[in-house]
Amino acid sequence: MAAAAAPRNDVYFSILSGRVLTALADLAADPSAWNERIQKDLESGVEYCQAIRAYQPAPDVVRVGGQQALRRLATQPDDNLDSPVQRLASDCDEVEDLLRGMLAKSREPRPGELLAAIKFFVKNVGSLGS
Amino acid sequence: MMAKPESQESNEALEHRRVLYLLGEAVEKLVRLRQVLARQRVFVEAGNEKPEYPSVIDPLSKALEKQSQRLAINSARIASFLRRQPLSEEERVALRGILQSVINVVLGFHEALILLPRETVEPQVFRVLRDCFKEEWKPTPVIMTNALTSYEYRIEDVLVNLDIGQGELEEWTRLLRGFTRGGSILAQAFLDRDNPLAWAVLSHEYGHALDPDKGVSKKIVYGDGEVEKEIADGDPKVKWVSEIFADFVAARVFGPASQVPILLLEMSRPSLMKIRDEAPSHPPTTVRLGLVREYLKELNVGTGGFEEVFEMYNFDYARKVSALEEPERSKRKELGEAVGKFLQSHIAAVAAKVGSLKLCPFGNQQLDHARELQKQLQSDLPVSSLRQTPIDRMLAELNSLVESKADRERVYEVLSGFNEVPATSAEILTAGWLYKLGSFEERLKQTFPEAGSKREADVDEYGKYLARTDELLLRSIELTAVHAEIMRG
Repeated sequence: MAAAAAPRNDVYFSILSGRVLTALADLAADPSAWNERIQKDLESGVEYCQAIRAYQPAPDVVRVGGQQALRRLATQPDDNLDSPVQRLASDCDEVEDLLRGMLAKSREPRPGELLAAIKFFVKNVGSLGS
Repeated sequence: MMAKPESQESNEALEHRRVLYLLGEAVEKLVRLRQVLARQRVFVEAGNEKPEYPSVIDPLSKALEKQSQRLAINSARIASFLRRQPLSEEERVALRGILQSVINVVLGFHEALILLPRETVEPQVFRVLRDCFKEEWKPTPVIMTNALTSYEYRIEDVLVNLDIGQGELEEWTRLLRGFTRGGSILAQAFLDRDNPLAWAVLSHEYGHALDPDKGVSKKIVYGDGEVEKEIADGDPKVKWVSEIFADFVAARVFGPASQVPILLLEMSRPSLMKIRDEAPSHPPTTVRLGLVREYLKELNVGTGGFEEVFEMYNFDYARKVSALEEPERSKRKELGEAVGKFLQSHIAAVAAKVGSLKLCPFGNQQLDHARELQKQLQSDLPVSSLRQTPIDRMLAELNSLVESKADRERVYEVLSGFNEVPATSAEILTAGWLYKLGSFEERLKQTFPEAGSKREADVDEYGKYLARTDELLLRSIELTAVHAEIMRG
């Protein structure tokens, strides 16, 4: 065979991450660009977080409290985003909180938080199922 | 502002190119899968009453339409990226993830096509294989299949890739005992049916058929020494040599283009697979690519026009390795070094064996011909033949006829310079790759017009470009077969 079997990717997670990444990028480009499609795409992000927790076995991770997970993600170098799912649970909680807050209009993303959330989804679209 | 260090600038340029290739793959895979489904719908509507088929086609079509919409929603971002206009870090990082998500979805759906009636392959595929393998070609079926089991040539590999339980695998092997050695089969992905550029991979697979039961590879590893069959069959060194043997066969008949489809496919994968076995059956692709490049150099075959893809692949691979967790990263590095060292000491023997086969070799002359043909493709013409006399010399000769009032014999002598010889399949496909690698970026720009343009982003625009390229190449392969037949008299 030409190549060793390639990683399999989960279609469901990829669909959800494609949606939420679009919404987050739209809001990063223009914070006032709120519309029905962006709202639905952010909801896909919440669905993603819920599903990923159910999908992954309880990871042996160190939980990082408060805003630390998002801060760590935001400063993570760009070329290391496809890393395996580390600290998934805490990252997931933080990102879901952010998305819920944005959907409820009770939370404006602080500088770096949108980037952190984007990196979370990009990291996972690159590693799920591998 | 301080200037960026050279290495950082070079990495940014490579990263830009990498995402460009990712975009090209995302759009191409999407439009090709849509084409497959459109054909399936015609087939079903043409009288196949089985109600289960539309129930598979409809949801797949709708889901693919949503992926097209996903690209359309992001079109302003993509258009800016293509024109190197500034994007915020958020948008830049997100775009990469969005493109990867589209590829993941399309490749995932590709697996479901196994539920639909299978199409037959394009007949030109056999012309290409016969043309490349000459006396070594034995009629071998080529079937269309899902991505997971495509580009395999033996039923055992298909079964292993299906990842069925060990118990079931043993049961399959028992059922098929005494049957599996009946011959080879070449499996092609549904997506690549009309895409002759992807067919170069089949030459690697047929390379395995030229190493039946890995007999050639065993001989290279053990020499004349006797080794128990069971031990030899399970020896990873034999498997590594068999892969390199097949790679060299493909390189011998297709030159540098033999590598491109598999490299692009691997680049479109989101991450590297974990090394599960201590000694995996496949040498790391970077090792294989390095050896093939050495082999081509040894054969004095240039790689101009393909170097960017090779460099891009190595960049992408290094990036994916650096994203691995530490134990895995070290394991991969150690494995690469060990496999590379072992294979280095055997490539002369592999090359000698491949050189002894009666194949249609690809040399620098073929590469030059391919470059000529590439110009014809740029003019939207088929590339089935090559003129023996350069056109400027022909013009000079024709002018001399007018000036000298030449007699009839002289006129025919000059006109005989219009003779054309059929191009080989490898020249046609190499020309196709050179054309595509040199044109896809511009076509993507046309697909995703600049913000403020009157046109909207439309992936079908790229689909038309792919379909036209496919058509020109398929037509060329067909014409060259007819031309060769006429010349045989």
